[in-house]
Order: sequence, then structure tokens, then C-alpha cells
Amino acid sequence: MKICLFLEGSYPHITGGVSTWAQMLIKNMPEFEFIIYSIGAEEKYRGSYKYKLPANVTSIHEVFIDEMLKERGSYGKRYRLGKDEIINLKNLITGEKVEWSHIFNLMAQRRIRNIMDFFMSYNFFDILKEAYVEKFHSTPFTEFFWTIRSMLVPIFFILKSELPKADVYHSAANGYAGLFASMAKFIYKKPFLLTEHGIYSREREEEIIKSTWARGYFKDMWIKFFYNICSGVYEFSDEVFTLFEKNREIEIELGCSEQKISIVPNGIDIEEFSGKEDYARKKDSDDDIINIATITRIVPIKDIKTMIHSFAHVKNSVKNAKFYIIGPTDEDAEYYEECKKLAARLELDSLTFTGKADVRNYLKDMDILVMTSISEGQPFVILEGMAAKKPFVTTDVGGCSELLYGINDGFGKAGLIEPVMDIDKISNAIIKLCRNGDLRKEMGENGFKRVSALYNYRNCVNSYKSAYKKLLGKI
Amino acid sequence: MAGIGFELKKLFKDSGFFSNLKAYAYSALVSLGPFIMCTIVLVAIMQFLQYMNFSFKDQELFIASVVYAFIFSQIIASGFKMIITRFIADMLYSEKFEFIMPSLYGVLSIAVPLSGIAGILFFWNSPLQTEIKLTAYLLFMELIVIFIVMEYLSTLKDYIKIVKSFLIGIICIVALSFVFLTFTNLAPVPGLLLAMDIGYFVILASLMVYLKNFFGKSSKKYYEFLKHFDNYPSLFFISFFYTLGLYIHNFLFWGSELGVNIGSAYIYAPVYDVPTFYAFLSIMPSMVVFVVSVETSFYDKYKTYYSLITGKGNFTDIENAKKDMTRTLWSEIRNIMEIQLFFTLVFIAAGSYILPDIGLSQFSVDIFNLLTVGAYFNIIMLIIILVLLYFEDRKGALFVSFTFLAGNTIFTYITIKYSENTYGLGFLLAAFLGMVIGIIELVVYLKNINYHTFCGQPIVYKEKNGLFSHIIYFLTPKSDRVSSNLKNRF
Repeated sequence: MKICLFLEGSYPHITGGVSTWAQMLIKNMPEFEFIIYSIGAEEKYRGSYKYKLPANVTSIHEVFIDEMLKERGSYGKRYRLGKDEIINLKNLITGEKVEWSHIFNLMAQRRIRNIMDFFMSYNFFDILKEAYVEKFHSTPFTEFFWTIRSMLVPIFFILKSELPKADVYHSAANGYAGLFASMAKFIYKKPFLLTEHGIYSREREEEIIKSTWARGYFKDMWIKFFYNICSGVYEFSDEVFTLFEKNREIEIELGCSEQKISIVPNGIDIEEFSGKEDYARKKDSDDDIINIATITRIVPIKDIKTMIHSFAHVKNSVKNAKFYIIGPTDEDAEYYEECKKLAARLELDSLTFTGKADVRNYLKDMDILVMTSISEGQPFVILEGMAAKKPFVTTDVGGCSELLYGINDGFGKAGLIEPVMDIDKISNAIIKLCRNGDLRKEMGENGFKRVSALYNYRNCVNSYKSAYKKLLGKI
Repeated sequence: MAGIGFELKKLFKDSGFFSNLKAYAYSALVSLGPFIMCTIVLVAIMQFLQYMNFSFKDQELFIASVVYAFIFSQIIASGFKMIITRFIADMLYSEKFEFIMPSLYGVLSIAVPLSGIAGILFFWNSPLQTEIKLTAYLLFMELIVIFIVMEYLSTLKDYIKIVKSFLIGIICIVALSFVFLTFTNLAPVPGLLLAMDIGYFVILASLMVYLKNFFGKSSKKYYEFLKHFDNYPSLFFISFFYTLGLYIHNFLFWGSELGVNIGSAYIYAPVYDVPTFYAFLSIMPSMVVFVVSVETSFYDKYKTYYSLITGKGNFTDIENAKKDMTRTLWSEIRNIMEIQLFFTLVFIAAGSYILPDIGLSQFSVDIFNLLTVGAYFNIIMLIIILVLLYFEDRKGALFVSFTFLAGNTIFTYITIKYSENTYGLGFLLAAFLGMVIGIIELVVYLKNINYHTFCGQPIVYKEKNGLFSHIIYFLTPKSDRVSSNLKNRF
């Protein structure tokens, strides 16, 4: 049984939620053979893996988008394109609905040997011109031209690469990875399972809106382009797994058929965080130091600055509080410097940046965990903290509220949820927990019960196992 | 969350660049200068020789020495010409002025040894007197250098300065000729050649001083221009094929029964060569008109078109500018064709009166008539080639200049085998064919000019790293290597 797992910008080159999930999945299914198809941004990562690949990974294909910089083309070619192919290529630009099967066929037939040649051909220029006249005729043509090139070249670059043969295609994300998996499904007529950790098209949309590189009049085009990819992928997928209820609702809104969707949350090895000792230390006296920590990479999306501001507020009311920001600082060094300066300006000398560290060493001494992210999926740190019986204060993003409050599961609250960037509310919530040891303990226990019951990795692995088996049986 | 969508934008650099390609026209104009000057000097010296009653043999030997030096230096220099023009234009565009002078030394360090060896091979076994060999060889070498230096001067557009230098040089030549032949014991031929050597040296020195003052700073990167051989190899061949094509019919006639042997050192075919020379005088007006029209009406439209593309023009604006530009271009070309037609007819009419008077046979006058018509087609063809280069259609330009060279070789060969009455027709047909193909190419290319402008640009811009870039790498001092290597990569 061969399963081809498509990943984008994650496993095995970059650490993070998706990568942790992928490693767990593969490691716990020795009975399946895995082919890894990983799409990355930069070729410098080729062959450098952050994980030890389990023995059942039989091959790994790596495609890096910057490799296309090496491709050369010559211009002046003409291709024979069918009417449907032309229309769908054009729709890809204008944002109208795309029938991907025509594009998959075009790529699978190898009529286009070199995609650079194709994008420099007469045919493509004509298609681009038509799309321009139809939809974009008042925009600067040159900018349009280059925008379209940079928008389309990467996906064709990926679609052109060799499709691995497998019994089940499984993509860990929508987008480029999902699209290529869809093509594999379409060409080899094998089942395709999509897992969406975060909602790809929404994430891209947020990036595009905030971005400075895309001009106003082309932002809409970029956004539609990603929606076009993502809804195509929904169509081709046989099953869609996502982490939590909110995502499911968005997927339905985005046009994914409701019957396809199941919720399969992430899972962790509970014993790893709770087994050896009782991490939830008892604090009886107010004189004891209260340790407050966040476990995160120091990057803007985690909104560390709001966290530092909140800590400063907490410090004013809770003199015996100490703060820890645990996690790697090298990803965005500039942002890290800004954060340090902010902490200095706020005279928050009880804050420590630990850098990259083994979370388990710190967890046991912590009393409250905080997370102020602007965007999240279903963070492993929350699952781990819950397993260690720690109460949380988090912002209301992604699957946080589902994790901490549950959906009528009877376990009770495992923390407090506050609005994004709301320093007052976040700090008040932390203060509330600081002052109430019983509440901390209760929430820690609630969290532990929930995580043990619902977020055990075995559940997750079993769901995928049976999904693979079901899909295999279907054909 | 995972996702790499937006790392991409980084990968796409600027939307390409656009540079001022007018330089090709100036270069063509400026190379006319020495052609005219040489003619004047030759005619002047010939009159002088006749006046002084020198033997016909000496006259012939002198003329042949000068003409050989002139033709072969021009052919050898031609390959470098367009590449240099392009290199200078690009450097001026990107304001890297300090790369210009070093490139001149770099080109010379390649062209001079190359032609030096060619010259030595030619003269080695020649039965000429050593004095003649030396002076003729020197002249040949000087001309190579002058032709290359002229390319650099053409970018300055200071024609008065160039003309002044040439005038001073010519005065030197005439004066020294007189002095050497009347007051010294020098034999006439080496004496005259020495006078020319000194005169051309004066020209060369004053031009070099002028250039050096103008582009003072030097980056010491002598071989940067070689990268242009990797990026635009076709320019070398366009220019070389065209120039070789200009002379190939003469070479074929030298080998025919019209060929005359001079002192067992040179062969030429005066019956054919002299009319060729007069026929080419007829095309001067076109070059001037072309440069003027490029400078004025056409260039404005051309600039509008490209600035809409590099700027924020929408497609309708671009399309309108294209039509406008195309219309202006064709009307300018038609205009030149009409003006040139007038001059060509005047030359043909005048030729039949004047040429017999200065000693041409009726046979040569007939050849002159055909060649003058041929020169007409040839100059229109050259203009088309230059226009194609403005639009970066190097492939088209190469095809036209190759057609001309091949056509001239084949057709001239046939006419030589076929009949005396057709002498000159080979060149005419080749030039006509080249012109027609050029016009067709230009029509088709302009029809798709938007496509060519946009899609001709690589999706990811990269300098080509070919043979010559590697050579530069080895010529670069080790300490500079890293940075130049990095530059290649990005």
C-alpha cells in the first residue's frame, strides 16, 4: 500500500504544526509505505531534513519554487491548444471558474515540454491579452503581464514535475500541494484525501490584503486565483479532513461539499507531558512566584508585542509574576530585536527570552500559559500545555476556543479566551488566573481531561488509518 | 501555517530594461566619415602622383597597398563594431561610464594581435620591398585601431571634433607626401605610405586624447565587454556578414579574368573595383537622412511606445502608440527610398558623362550602373537591419545580413561564369533579395511587436554565462573574483 503525502512549505524541511502531524502520522503507520512529495520555497533546503524520516518513507520528492529560476526558455513558439484549454487558462487569469481537468490533461500530455517556452509563446500572450481586455483593461499592461507570469509560472512549474505513482494521494494542505495531488488523482484515477490544517485560501487572502508587493488593482486577481485553486482541490478530493469545527464551516462556505468533510483533530502523546510527574504544582501562598510563559516562535503573526504589553500590565498588579518567552528567536531577528527593545522600554525586567529550548523542562515550573497569536490552526502547544495541566489565556483564533472551552463536551473550561490584540482583556484574564490558584488548578484538570479524551494521537492515527483503508477499498 | 505562495514575488525582479539603441545609426553614420576621407586622400594623392609623373606601376602599387589595408581592416573590425556599440550604449544607459575606456583597451588588445597576425601572414612571403611591407602593415594596423575608436566616438555625437581630427591628419598626409617625395631620398611608394602612417597616427592620437578626456575614469575591467559576446553573439555576425558581403563580389572578381596582379603581392580588378567605389558614393544621402529622421520623428514615437510599456500604459494606449510608431517608421523609410532614388538616378545620369572622362571604359560604366542600383537596395537593406536592431530583432537582422552575403557570393559567382554583360548584377540581386527579406521581416515583426517586446524578455532575467564570461573570470584578478562572480549570479 503506497500513500503519497503532499506537503507544502513544511515537512520535512521546516518545523511546525503540520510537520509534527506528518511525522506522527507516518511513524505510527508502519504498515503503510509513504512517498513524500514536498514543495518548498527555497532550494537551499534540499536534503536538509528537520526530522528523522521513519523507515516506511520509501522515497522523497522535493520541488522548490526557486528552482524555476534556473529554467530557461526561448520565445516564439506556437502550441496547439484546444478551445477548452484556452478558456480555462484565461479563466485562471480572470478569476472565472476553472475546469482543472483541461489544464491537468494539457500538462499530463507533455505537449508543453518547457513551461518557460509556453509562457513566452504566442498562444500564451494571446490568452493573456484576451483576459486583459475582458477584465483588466484599465490597469497598466506591463504590470499586468508580469503579475500574471509570476502568478502562473509556479503552479505550472509544479504541475509539470513527475507525478509519483501511489494507491492513495493525501495532501496536507490545499494550494499548490493540493492541486498537484488533484492532478495525480485525476490522471491515475486513485483516491485523494485532503487535510486542511488551516484554510489555505483564507490565509492567502489575508496575506495578499496586507501585502505591499501586490498593487491594489491586482490584489483581487491574486485572491481569486487562490480561491480558484482551492475550490478545484475541494472538487477533486474524495474526503476532506480538518482540525476543528470552525474550519469545517468555512470550507462549506467556500463550496466544499459537506459530506466530504470530517473533523480529525491533532493529537499528542499525553504521557509524554503528564506521565512522569504531576506538573501542576500546588501554590498555596501568594508570596510564591507565579511563572507565566508563552511557547512560541518569535514572529509577527504570534503578536509577541501585545503579549509583552500585557505582561507589563500584569506586572503592575502582580508583583510576584515572572515571564518567559520560550522558543527560537532566529526566524525573524529584526522582530526579535524590536520585542526586546519594547520589553526594555516597559521596564519589564522579569521577562526572560529563553531561546530554543526543550519545552518539557520549562513546562513543569509554569503556572499559566499565554498565547496572543493573530492566526492559528490547532496549536500543538495548547494540547501539550493541557496535557501538563496548565491553564491558558489565548486569543480567539483558529481552534483555540474549541480546545479550551470544548463544544458541549462536559469537560469545562481549560482557560480563558480573549479578543485578538486586546491588551486590557488579555492582561485582566492573566491577572485573574494569577490571583486564583483554585481556578488555575481546575482549568488545568479540565484541560487534561479534554486532551486525554479527545486529542490523543492514537485517535488521530486511527482516523487516518481507517480513512486510507476505506479509500483503498473504494476503488 | 504552511504555505509558500508569497515568497515568490521576490523571485521576479524588475520588468526588464529598455535601452537607447539609436547608437547603431550613429555608428553607421560615423563610419561613413573615414570612408569619405579616405576617398578624398586617395584621389588627392593620385592627382599628385600624376602631376609628379610617377610610373603607373608605382601608382598601382600604392593604391593597392592602401585599398587592401582599408578593406581588410574594415572587415576585421566589423565583427567588433556592433558589439562595442551595444556595449557602450548599455554602459551609458546604466551610467557605468568607467567601463567604457577599459573596454576600448580590451577590444584593442584582442583586435590588434589578431589583425597583426593576419597582416604578418599576408606580407611574410610577399615579394614586396621591406620598406613597403612595413609601412603598409603599419597603415593596416592603424586603420584597425581607428575603426574601433570610431565606434566610441560615435556615441559622443561630436562630429565636428572627428572631422577636425581627420582634416588635420589629411593635411599632414598631403604635406608630408610633398616633403618626402621632393626633399628626401625615400622611394615614392614607401614614402607616401609613411606619410599616411604619420597622418593617421596624428588622427588616432588626437581622437584617443579626446576620448580619454571624455571618459576619464577607468574601472580597470578591460574585458567586461566580452560578456556581450555571450549575450549578443548575433551582433558580431550581423555586422561581419554585412561588411564581408559588401566586398565579397570584389574578391570574386579578383579571382576572375578581370583580376590584375600587382607586384605579385596584390590582386585586384580595377575594371570592377573602381565602379564599385563610385557606386557606393551614391548612398551617402540616405545615411544622413536616416540618422536625421531617426533623431526626430521616429525616435519620438519609438520612445512613446516603450515608455508606455515601461510605465503605466494600458493596452489600448500601447496599441495606439504602436500603430503610430509603425506608421511613422514606414513613412520615413518611404521618404528615404524616394530621396535615395533621386540621388541614385542623378548618379547614374552623371556617371555616364563624368566617368568616361576620368578614365573608365564603357564596360566599367555599365557595371557602375548596375552597382549603383545595387547600392540603392543595399542601403535600404542596411537601414532595415538597423531598424530591426532597434527592436531587438537580432535574429531577423542576422538572417537578412546572411542572405545578403550568401546571395552576393552565389549570384556573383554565377554572373562571372555566365556572361560579361551581367557583371554587377550579382550584387544587385543579392542586395535586392536582402532588402525584400528585410522588409518582409520588419512587417511581420512589427505586426507582433507587442508580443516580441513582452515575451522576448526572459521570465527570469539572467545574464548568459557563456564561454566569454568564463574567460573574463580567469582574466579577473583573484581579489576581484568573488564580487564579479556574485554579480553574475544575481
